[in-house]
Amino acid sequence: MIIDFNVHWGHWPQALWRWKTLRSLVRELELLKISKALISSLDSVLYPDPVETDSLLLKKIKPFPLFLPAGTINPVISSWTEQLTEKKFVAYKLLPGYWSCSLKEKSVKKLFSALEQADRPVLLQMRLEDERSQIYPLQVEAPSVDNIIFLAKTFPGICLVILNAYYWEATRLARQDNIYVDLSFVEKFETLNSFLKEVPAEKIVFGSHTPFLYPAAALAKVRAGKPSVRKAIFSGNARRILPLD
Amino acid sequence: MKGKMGIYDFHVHTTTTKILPLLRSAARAGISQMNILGDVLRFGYYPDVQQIRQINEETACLIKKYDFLKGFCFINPGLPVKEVLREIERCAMSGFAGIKLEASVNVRDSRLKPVMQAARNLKLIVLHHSWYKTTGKLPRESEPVDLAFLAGRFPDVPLVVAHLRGCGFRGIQDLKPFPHIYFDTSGGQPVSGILEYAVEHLGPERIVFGSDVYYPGGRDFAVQISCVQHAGIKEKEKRLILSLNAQRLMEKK
Repeated sequence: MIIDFNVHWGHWPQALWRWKTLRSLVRELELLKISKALISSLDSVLYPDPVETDSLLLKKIKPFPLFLPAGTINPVISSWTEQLTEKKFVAYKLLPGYWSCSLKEKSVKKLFSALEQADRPVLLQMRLEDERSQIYPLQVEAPSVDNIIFLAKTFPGICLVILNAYYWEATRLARQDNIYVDLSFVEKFETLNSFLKEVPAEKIVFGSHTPFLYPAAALAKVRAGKPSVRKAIFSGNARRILPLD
Repeated sequence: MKGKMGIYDFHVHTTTTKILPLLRSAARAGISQMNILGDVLRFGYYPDVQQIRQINEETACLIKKYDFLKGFCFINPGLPVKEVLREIERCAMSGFAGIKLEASVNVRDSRLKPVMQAARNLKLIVLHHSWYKTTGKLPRESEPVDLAFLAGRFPDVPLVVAHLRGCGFRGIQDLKPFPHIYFDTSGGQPVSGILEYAVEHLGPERIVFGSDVYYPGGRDFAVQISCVQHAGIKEKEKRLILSLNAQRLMEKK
């Protein structure tokens, strides 16, 4: 079983992806034996109220049991309380860079205090694109690693899954007990073996960052590992983190 | 590793001549031939004559030892022209197949002229770094639109533009009018959609596989190959990109 923590759907500027429909994306994930995928709405990143765009995503993914919805929570838009009240999501996602939101702001503290009660992991997206290739009107600074560590220490009861961190960021972040990382933006010579020298397999989850990236590329990194490592990354760790039942 | 039917990797760097782990990793990924471009970042973007020579000596040592490796001579066109030409000729005499240019001098600079003329005379392929960067652009780094300028001036020198995914959709359009220009598939994250777009707009014949593995630090053969193997293109187009185009280009040389 493979559980993918990092799949998106929606509109994104400058994107000409290989998959033009949600159905074709599902077909690709199934072909690659990805059996569950946490999906979030790209429209919710830039739309003024993520509650509305997340509702649309929920409708769209209904025919596809492969998907597990992740709700986008913007701490500076107060409608996030609605997202938490209804247990429609298996995880909540934050993209602080896209909202010019420092993780030390009061609104984030308030949100995280509420998330402590939600019993759901929090997915924190460092970036959606390599900074070098972001378009000029959408240049976004990634959240600071120090601030994420501060947040993780302040809220030790919250499980934080950091998506799209670079190698140096991921190795630092994964040292915190309540932080997990994916490998979608981690690439080195023999990626997994290099990374495992610094981070134990128990702190890694599988994330492909589809459709931005080819999901097969993320699989190629993990498939280089021993069976026990593959099992932990593909599904074992996810089962510990997610409310799958 | 030996053999002509596997994948041809057009773009590999190494910081060391002890490359057995690199060769084993490549073999596991199905790569049977590769171009060694040297440790082009060892001395920064403006290496001197001695530093250039040191990098190329290491490449020479590798291509002498392994016949399935081809060498590309790394050059800084900003150095005195006599030295530049001497180094190119020295490398050509040692069996190098091409010239590798990085970001020492922008390709619009007139100092590229003798380099391109030497490539033409010695039948060397030129492989040039290029990228459209929103941030972190180097002062003399060449963008695809600059490469288009060079391509127009030297229509008889085969030129491979590195980093298709870094050049992006705009770069593909910039270089579309020049049939002697190729792209290698490398460039940052395994972003989907750009290779498909390139095949549609350039044709699959103008694309070669390049991993940009920088041994022992950067990039992963299996990841880079998966970007071609799982792209939304035809099987015969994948074969062209992974092997046949590079074979043809190197044979022409």
